[in-house]
Amino acid sequence: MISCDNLSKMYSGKYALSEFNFTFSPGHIYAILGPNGSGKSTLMKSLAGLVKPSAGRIIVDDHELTYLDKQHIAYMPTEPYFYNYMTAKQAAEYYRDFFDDFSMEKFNWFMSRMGLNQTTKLRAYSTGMMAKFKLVLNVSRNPHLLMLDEPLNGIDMLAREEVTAGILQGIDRSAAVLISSHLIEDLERIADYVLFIKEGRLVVHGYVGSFREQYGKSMTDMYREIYGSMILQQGMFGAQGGYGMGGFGPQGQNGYNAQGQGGFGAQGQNGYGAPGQNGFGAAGQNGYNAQGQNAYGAQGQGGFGAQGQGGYGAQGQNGYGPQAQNTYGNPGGYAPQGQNGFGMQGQGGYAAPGQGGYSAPGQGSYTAPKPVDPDLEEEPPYGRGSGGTP
Amino acid sequence: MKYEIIRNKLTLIILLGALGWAEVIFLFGLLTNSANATGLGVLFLMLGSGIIYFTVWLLGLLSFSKDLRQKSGYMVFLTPVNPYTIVFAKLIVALAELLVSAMLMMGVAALDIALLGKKFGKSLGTIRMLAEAFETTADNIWAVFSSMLISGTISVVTLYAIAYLGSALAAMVTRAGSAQFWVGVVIVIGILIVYGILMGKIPMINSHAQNIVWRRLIERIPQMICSVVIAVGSAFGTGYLLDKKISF
Repeated sequence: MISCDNLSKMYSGKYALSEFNFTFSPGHIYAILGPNGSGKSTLMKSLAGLVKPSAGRIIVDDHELTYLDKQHIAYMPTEPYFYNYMTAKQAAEYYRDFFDDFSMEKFNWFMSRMGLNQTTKLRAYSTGMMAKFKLVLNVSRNPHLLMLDEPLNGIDMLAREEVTAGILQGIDRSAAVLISSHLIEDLERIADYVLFIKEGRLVVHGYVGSFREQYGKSMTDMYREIYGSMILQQGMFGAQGGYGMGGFGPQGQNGYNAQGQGGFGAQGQNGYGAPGQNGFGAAGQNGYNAQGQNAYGAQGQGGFGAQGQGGYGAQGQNGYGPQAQNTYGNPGGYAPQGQNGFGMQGQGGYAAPGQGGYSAPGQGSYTAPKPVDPDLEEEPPYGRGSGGTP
Repeated sequence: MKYEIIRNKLTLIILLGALGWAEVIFLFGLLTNSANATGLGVLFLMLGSGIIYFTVWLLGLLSFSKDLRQKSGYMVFLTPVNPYTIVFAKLIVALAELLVSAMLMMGVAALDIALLGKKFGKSLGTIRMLAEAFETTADNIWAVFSSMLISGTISVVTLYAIAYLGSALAAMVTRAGSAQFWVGVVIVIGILIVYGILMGKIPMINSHAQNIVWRRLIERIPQMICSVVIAVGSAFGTGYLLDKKISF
């Protein structure tokens, strides 16, 4: 059993973890969820002994964490971490030399199952191959605590299924397993307990099953509820990840055409055109041409970034155009002074002051196209400003 | 320690390969009576030896700093190895690589000098030549080498330990990246300045040994002891920072 006792970590005056209290028990698979920068990796690295706490402590069974406990702790970082000269086999031999619980038989079996060549230099592996290899190496151990930091990053859907299956096959059910990922639906299939971290704090946690049974909510729904308010406050389109989970690509997670991660407004799931759920913003409902309800401006649900307010033509009424009608998402929609547009100041959207936007307050947005109605006294619906880079 | 040696293996193989080629050119010149080739071989051997020695020294210094700055450092710091053991293992391997390189190059040099002597039909009196170079007699030359070995080893270990401490202090105050490297360099320079001032203030022992070389060695015993204390202290300090303070 491993416990965090008021665990805090500060970097340059900012808390990456703040008074984190939790006990991880064997026999559970914990999903660690939160937007980028919420403290997930810091938590895992602290438990792995790579990060030293600024305050609080980590208790393993009945003593504070020491280097000896690393014998029973496996941590798979997000990034590749091997020496340049190593082949897969050499990395395995390294692990065999340092970790008593490493099984070469299990390693060989998994490597064959994943279709990976052991004699290839690791620096020649593709992103997907490296993701699989890191997993194979770590599940070939038999630790008391196994931590996988975004094991599904950067790999295609089929490979994700293989990796997920590999996790389930490889883990020892008597271990405590921590997995972080932005692919909540994939994670929901394997985790039985979920922790939501926000700005370094543990805000909600519980059994995945209880959320479903008692509240009828999936992990995805919970995620939207917990982090959804962040989107409006922090701005759309990229500030802190507004625009769904990662915003328009800021930290590499979501965006336009993101693989179902977030994207353009979606509350975490879909990007522009991502399969299934939300497109261009709506929280599950509408997307850009999504079926059913409104494309481009769902009924108050989302839309181009708005949290339920409307998007691009929200409320089914107007789109892209006339003022006073709808807009492109009032508040929070794609811009406007509540009015609309792509780039106007005001509320949100793309370049609203202080709110988000892709490129800073009032700065940016897409270059204005021609006004829709030159006779209008008001500003054209979108396009004031120019440029706009995140 | 095994993996410390393996990490630098490729670089050392390349350098030794280059030295091997220089030796081949030298031997080719001897066999074919080509003064140009012989001279070129001697030049490459001398330059190559210097480069190899400097590279080995630098790799030893940078090894620890790289582990603190790069993700590959996880390979070391995720293992259940005592942080103090990590530091001392790196020190020992760095020193051993340096000593082995020095002995190898001295061996090659002695062999080549003997071959030259045989070629030109006269004894070059290697020992006598070296004695003249060090302004001593042939009887004293082993004392000179022993003295150099002892003081050289202490200096190198002290320098490595100070460099490791500087890297650790830099890792404690900065995040990984190039800034950490340069902060480390500044810290190391600062520590070396203080070290130099301290060494200057330590008194020498008055020795009445007849052999001048041993006399000089004995006079410097307090400074050597101080260097060893600083080296050990720096190594332990580095281990402490790794264990308690440094985050990756």
